[in-house]
Amino acid sequence: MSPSEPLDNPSVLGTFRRARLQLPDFGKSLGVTVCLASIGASGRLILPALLAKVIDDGFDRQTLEIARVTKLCVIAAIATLVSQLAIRLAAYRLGVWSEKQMVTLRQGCVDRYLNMSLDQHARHRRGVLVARATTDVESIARFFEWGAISWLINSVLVIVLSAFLLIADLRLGLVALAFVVPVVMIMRFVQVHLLAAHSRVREHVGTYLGKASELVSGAAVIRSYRAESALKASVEESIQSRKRTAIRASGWGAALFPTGDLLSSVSVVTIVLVGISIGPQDSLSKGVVVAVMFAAIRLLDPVAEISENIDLTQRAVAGLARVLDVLELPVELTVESASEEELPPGPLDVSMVEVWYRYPLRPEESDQVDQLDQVEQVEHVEHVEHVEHVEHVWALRDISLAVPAGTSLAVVGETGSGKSTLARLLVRMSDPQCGSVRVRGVDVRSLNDQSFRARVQLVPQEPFLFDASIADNVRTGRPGLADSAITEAAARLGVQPWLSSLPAGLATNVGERGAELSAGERQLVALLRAEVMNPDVLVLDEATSSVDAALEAQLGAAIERIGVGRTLIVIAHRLSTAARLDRIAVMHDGECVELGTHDELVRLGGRYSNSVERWRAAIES
Amino acid sequence: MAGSIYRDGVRLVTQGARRYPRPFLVAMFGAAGFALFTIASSWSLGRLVDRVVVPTFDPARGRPPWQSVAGAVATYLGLSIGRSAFTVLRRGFAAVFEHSVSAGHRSDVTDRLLRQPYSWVRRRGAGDLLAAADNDPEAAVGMLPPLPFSFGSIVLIFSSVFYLFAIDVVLGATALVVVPLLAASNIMFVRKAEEPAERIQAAVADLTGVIHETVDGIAVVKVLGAGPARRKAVDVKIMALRQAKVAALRYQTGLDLVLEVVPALMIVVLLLVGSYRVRDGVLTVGQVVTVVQLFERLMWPLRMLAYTMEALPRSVAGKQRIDSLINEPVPLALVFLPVLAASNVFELTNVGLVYDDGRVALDSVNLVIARGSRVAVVGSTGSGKSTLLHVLAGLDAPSSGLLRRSVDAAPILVFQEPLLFTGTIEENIQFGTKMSTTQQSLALDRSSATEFVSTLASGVKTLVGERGVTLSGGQRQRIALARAIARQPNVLLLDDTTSSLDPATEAEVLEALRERTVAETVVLVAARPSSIALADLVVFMEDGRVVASGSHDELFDTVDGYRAIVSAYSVASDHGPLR
Repeated sequence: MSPSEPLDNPSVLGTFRRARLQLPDFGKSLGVTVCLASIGASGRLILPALLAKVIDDGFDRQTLEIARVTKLCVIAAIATLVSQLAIRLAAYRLGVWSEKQMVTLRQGCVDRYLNMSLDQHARHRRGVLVARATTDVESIARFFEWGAISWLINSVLVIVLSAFLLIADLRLGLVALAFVVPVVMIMRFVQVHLLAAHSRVREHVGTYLGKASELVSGAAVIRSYRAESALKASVEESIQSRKRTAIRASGWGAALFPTGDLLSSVSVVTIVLVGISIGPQDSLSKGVVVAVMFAAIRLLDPVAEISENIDLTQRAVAGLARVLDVLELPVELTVESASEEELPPGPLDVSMVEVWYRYPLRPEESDQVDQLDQVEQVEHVEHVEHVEHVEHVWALRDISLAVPAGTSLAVVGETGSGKSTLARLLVRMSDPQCGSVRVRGVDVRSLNDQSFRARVQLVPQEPFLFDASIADNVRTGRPGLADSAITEAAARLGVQPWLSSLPAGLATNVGERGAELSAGERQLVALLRAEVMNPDVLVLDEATSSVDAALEAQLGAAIERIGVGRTLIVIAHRLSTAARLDRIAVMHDGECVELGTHDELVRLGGRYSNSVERWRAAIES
Repeated sequence: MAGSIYRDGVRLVTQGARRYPRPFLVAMFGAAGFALFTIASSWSLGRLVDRVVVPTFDPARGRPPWQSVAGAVATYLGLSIGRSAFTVLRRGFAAVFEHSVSAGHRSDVTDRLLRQPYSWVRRRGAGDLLAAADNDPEAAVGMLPPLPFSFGSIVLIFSSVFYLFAIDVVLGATALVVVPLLAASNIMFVRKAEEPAERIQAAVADLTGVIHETVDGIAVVKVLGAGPARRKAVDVKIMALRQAKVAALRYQTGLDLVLEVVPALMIVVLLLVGSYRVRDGVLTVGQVVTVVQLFERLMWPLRMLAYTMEALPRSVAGKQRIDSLINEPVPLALVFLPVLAASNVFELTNVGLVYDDGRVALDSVNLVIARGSRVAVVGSTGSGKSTLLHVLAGLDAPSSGLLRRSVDAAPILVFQEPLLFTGTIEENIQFGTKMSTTQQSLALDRSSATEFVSTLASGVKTLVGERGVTLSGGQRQRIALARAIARQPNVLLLDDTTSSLDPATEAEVLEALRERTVAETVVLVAARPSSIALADLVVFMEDGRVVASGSHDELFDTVDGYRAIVSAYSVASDHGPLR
């Protein structure tokens, strides 16, 4: 979003301008729709005009001309049919057009979610992101279903009626139109407040959804800790404050219509008074006065109809502004912008050069992330002198290490020392603020993303599984992979016995987030998932911490066996694992304090050798 | 079908009205008043023309006296003000009603999200539940905002038809023909639109689910380069929703056409019929003109009535989805039979648990856990250790056998993969319970978390993410442990809660767990010798069964499988570097 527009007060025009930038087809094929709506709107005026003519010509004589009345009635009927067909066709076209735009908006949101860096994701509540692509887009769609066509038709009506008023009698017409000015001013005033109010409602919607989605994803924890009533109180509070803001927003809409209505009554009275004060001179007739009176009342109809759905309109604009906020989020880690440079086949070496990294701040309100994003961007500029002031928040500090192709590295250290962060950066889940992560000496940021992802894999400690079968989870990164290939990979890792112990085998559904499996079983699926990618660089972040000791030892051996020729980086909290790898990096407080082989580090007598001694003592006791 | 949807629509409104009678009645009162004042103000407008405008321009009559001008103007303005006042009532309270009803739905749904058992949440799925928490309540009240106005319209229409009958029976009958026409087209529309409306609500839920999962699993999606595949999966749902909406739009367009054309044609017909009646000398020209103008004024209210009817199918679909969720009976909280021996916390007799897909998670488990004991559950991956803890915590109900629990037992289960909520560390530890700072810092202390928390920039006020992403796995485990300990549970169930801790920290945490003050009874899934050492009873599980239980030494000497598992570490660590 442009910095000149504060988040809480999106303007209608500003929002549409932003929408045009995001929606390439925004103005496309609307011309025909507008034409149809104009035809239809004018048709709406033909009927009253013809009626007036019938009454004037047909009735206002001594002898009633039935034939003439019938003829005019047939014309009126045809005009009505044609104009209504035009209006409905316009509405249908508008609806189809809007659904197309909604698809673009939804796809845009999803694309953005897929491209956003994980750091950006961490700053947003999931519920809010989901709401943007669903509830918020729905609020826009609802406007196009009901409100948009009435705006179109009524705008045309106002123009045509104004023209009629001025032609009928310039003086009285000007009097009538003079009242349009305050009406428009009031509408504008109310609309600004209404939009701000609906923006606040959207904010509350976001908060509420964030809480609601925690009720779902945290279901087990909440029940285990018996926190139901406390969370109920908290979510109820957000439901009620959302309700209050929504009612307050509607209050503006409720005040708008009567104000317009009253002004129109005053305008009618004024027309009558001006009319009779001019009197039967200057070619003014009672017919003209009455016609102008009724046209002035009719001028209110569009205003009334618009004010009936102005709520819907502002709700939609507020929703659109929120969706656009997502679409306009800066891309921190650009997938598309990566070059075409493919990685050559064969083993890959990995290195980190003077890497500094810290987790982005998390704002109190995830909804206001956009401002933060701007701040962040400014701070991304590599000010190393700035580093000193905020040293404590850096998760990684000046890390330089190299893992030659085909060798293995263990990363050990206390919890919170930066091991997992190191793993995240190696597989490019985040980019460092300073320094670079390199593969074959090339900064990963300048590599083709698809080629990088296919070759470098991470198995995290708490793997995420999709609500699908084990087989489908394993082939997440290799769609279309045959079951037999999965079975072979399972055999290579030695987890075949576990798979065959499941009644449904590979077809076993793992449930949401893999909840139907135990933590250890989830790790096995994740391991399989990485193995079928046949990566050249494999990063294991305590990947087997939840499986039983015997299986872990067996998996460790299998990984080493199939890992020949691969570059292997293992984040290990068990020194037994570390000791078996080529080299060991010891992390402490975000820094790599020791680096060498097991024997070297034991001889060094530093942190590592201390740990080894304590570890052995613990086992022996 | 169509009959039932109207019934559902009526029930939707009456249920809301019964729950929130005041805003509903005030809005309806406002609408009726609005309708009556609209008619009255039409009448006074006619009077303004007759008594003020016509005489002024009639040379025979001359200008009317100022009193009659003032009177006519004042009446007209007064009635306008009255109409405006009723509009405020109608609109304002319609909004109060709408938002109250939708807040009520949200409240009901979130209530079930918390009161239904965990297995229910798993079965329903996140997409379904999130849609029911937001999109469905939104849809369910869709027909409420135009409702009072529609009610006003009906009042208007009826009074107009009465007026018509009073003038001329033939004209009245002509106008009445419209009613069956409109009703028939309405029924046809609603019947047709019901299916796409249901499809829309289901499609929104599906879309919510798939986007939620994508955002939730974004890390995996990225690392595996599965973005395009995910995008395709989401696209399928987006397109399904679009299809359903365009289908609904088609019916809506048809109904709109009928609802606008029929009344407009009716006016023409009235005029035609009226002119014949004038020729026959039954009516005067003035009467026909009044009738035509009155019915012209009804066009807009009729349009609003159409909006309500069009919103009906989707509102009903949304309401049905909510109802199906909240009408599912909430099973009584698992009632545990009390233990037979007062010295026990749990007594399990032949407890079994079979999942829906036929997987046997627990198989005839017989186990007694004594008050004050430290129990270690050991077994290979997938042997049922976690399930056993879930059953003890009451998260899963056994499908067979007998589970007895002491009356005072209030177990808390700490999960292997800790879930932290959006908020500060402090808020996560309190997690809805008011507790003193000392209680909090004591809990942090016992979880060996004090040190790392103090190094954080804002200490206990540090914000952690929805899933605590800024903390390491071991840090999250310790916060989750502190969250449990701070509640001073008498039974603490730990599902391999120290798996991510480095050995030194783990030793500290385990040492603290020895203290009876932390928790009277502790049952932990243990993977390492260090945690087994804490236990006075070791339970060894295989394939969902308790194979053996006793002291570590006993099991080590007599059970081969147990010996294999616990010695795996020492064996591995004695290996030395392989490469």
